[in-house]
Amino acid sequence: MESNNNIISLKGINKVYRTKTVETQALEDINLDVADGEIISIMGPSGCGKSTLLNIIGLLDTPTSGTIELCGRPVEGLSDKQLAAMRNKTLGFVFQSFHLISSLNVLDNVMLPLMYGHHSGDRKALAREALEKVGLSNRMHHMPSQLSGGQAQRVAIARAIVGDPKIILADEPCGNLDSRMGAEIMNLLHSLNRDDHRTIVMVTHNEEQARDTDRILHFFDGRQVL
Amino acid sequence: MTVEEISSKPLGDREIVLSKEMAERYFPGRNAIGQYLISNIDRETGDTSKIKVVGLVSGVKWHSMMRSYDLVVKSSAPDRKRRLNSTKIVLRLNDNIDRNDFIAAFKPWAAKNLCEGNYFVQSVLSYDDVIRKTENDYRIHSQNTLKYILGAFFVVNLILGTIGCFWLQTRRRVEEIGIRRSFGATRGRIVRMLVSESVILATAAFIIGDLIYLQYALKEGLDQGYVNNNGLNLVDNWINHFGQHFIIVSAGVYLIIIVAVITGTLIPAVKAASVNPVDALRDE
Ligand SMILES: Nc1ncnc2c1ncn2[C@@H]1O[C@H](COP(=O)(O)OP(=O)(O)O)[C@@H](O)[C@H]1O
Ligand SMILES: [Mg+2]
Repeated sequence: MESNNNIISLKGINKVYRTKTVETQALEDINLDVADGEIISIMGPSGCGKSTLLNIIGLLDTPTSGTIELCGRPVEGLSDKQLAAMRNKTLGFVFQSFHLISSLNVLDNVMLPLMYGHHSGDRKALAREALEKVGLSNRMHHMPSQLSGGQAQRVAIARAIVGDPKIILADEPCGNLDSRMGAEIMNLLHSLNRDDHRTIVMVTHNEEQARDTDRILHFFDGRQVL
Repeated sequence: MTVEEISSKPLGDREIVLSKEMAERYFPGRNAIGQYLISNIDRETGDTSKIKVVGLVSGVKWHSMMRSYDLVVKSSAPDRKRRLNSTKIVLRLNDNIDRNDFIAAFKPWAAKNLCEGNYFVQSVLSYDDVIRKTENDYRIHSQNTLKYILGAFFVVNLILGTIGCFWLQTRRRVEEIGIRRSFGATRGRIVRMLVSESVILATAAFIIGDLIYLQYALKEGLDQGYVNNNGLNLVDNWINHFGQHFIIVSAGVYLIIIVAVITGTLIPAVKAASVNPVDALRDE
C-alpha cells in the first residue's frame, strides 16, 4: 500500500481563475504523490502555476476540482477552524519575500505559530531552540528591519519549523538572495530534511539547487511536463 | 420624618429639623438626631444658643438639574412686620385625589371664595408645573436637549471615526493578517485580536481623558459645591458624594466608548480577517 507512505497526495487538481473578462487555467489535472521524508523541487517559467500549487498544498487556496490528502487525511469539507489547525500543526511556510511581521522582534516572529495551537513545552524555549537550529540565537531581540536578507530568511525558516510540522513548503526561498546566501538556505533546508525527517516541497529557478533534491517536477502552463 | 409628623408635633423654640444631606454634611457618618448646632449671635440677646436637631426630612428639588435643596424647619412666630406681597400656600392632596381634577375644581372656587381685602388667589399650579416652569425660566430644558444632541453627535462621530481610522489601519496590516492566517490563526482569532487591540487603545485614551476630567473637577471644586457670601456651604448645583458620582459617571462613559469602539471595529475587522491569505502574501 504505497499511499500509506505518502504524506501529500493530489489527484486530478484543476485550478481556474475566473474574472469578468478572462479565464486562467492555472493548474490542469495535476496528480502528485510526495513520500514522507522526501525533498522535491518544482521548476518552470513564471506564471506556470507553481505558487498556485504550493498554496493549494498549503491549504491557503482551494482547487476548482480534485482531491487533496495530507498525512492520509482528506481535506475536503474541512471548516476554517480545522484548516487553520492543520496549517498550524502539519505545515510550515517559507516565502520568497520572507514575510516577517515588521512590528515584532525575531523571537516573537518565531513564536507566532505557537500562539495558534496547543503546543507542549515553553513557547520561548521552543522558539529559542528553533533559532539555534538556524544559527541566529544571538539575534533574538532584533527587529526584522535590522536583519540581512539571508538572516531574515533563516528567521522565517525557524518560524516554519518551530511548531514541528511534517511538511515544509518553500516558494522560491532563495529568490531574493544572492547565491552565497541562497546556498546557505539550501543547506539549512537539506539538513531539516535529512536530520529532522521533514518533507520539503520547494519552488526554485536554480538548476543546481534543484539537482540536489530527490525529485524535480517541471511545470509548463499549468501542467506537469516532466 | 414626614410632613404629618412635623405638623403633628410642634417644634420647640430651640429645635430644628434638617434635610438629610445637610445633616450628613454637619454630622458626617453620625446620627444627627439629638446633636446640637450653635446658632448665630442673636441680635437681641447678643448671645449664641444651642439648637437641637430633632428630625430629618428629605431634600426638595425645584428643577431636575439641581441637587436637593437644603431644608431647615424651625418654629417661628408669625412675623407681622413682613409685608405680604406674594405668598405661596402649599396644599397637599390625599393620594386618592386626582391632581388635575382638583385644580380644575379648585381654581374657580378659590377665585370666588378665597379672597380677603386686597389678597386673592393669583394662580394655582401643580408641583410638576412649578418644576416645568422653573426649568423653562432657567432654560434648563433647552440646555438639556442641547446636551443630549451634542452627546448623540459625539457618539456617532466616535463610531464613524473609529470605522475610518480602523479601516486604514487594517488595510495596512493585510500582510500581517495573511502571515498569521497561514501559520494557523482562524478568522475568529484575527477578529478578536483586532477588536481587542482597539479596546485596549480606547481604554488607554479613556484613562487619560478621565484623569484630565478629574483634574478639572477637583480644580473647579465640583466636589466642594458652592459657597455663598456668608461662608455657608449651599452646594447648589454640584454633587454630594463626589467619589461615587465620579466612579459611576466614569463607568458609564467607559461603557459607551467601548460599545462604540467595538461597533466601529467589528465590521472592518471581519472584512480584514476574510481576506484570502494568498492575495495578502503575493510576492510579485
Ligand atoms: N488571484 C488570481 N486571479 C487571477 N489569476 C491568477 C491569480 N493568481 C494567479 N493567477 C494566474 O495563475 C497563473 C499561475 O500563477 P502562479 O501560480 O503565481 O505562477 P508562478 O508561481 O508559477 O509564477 C498565472 O497566469 C497568474 O496570472
Ligand atoms: Mg510564484
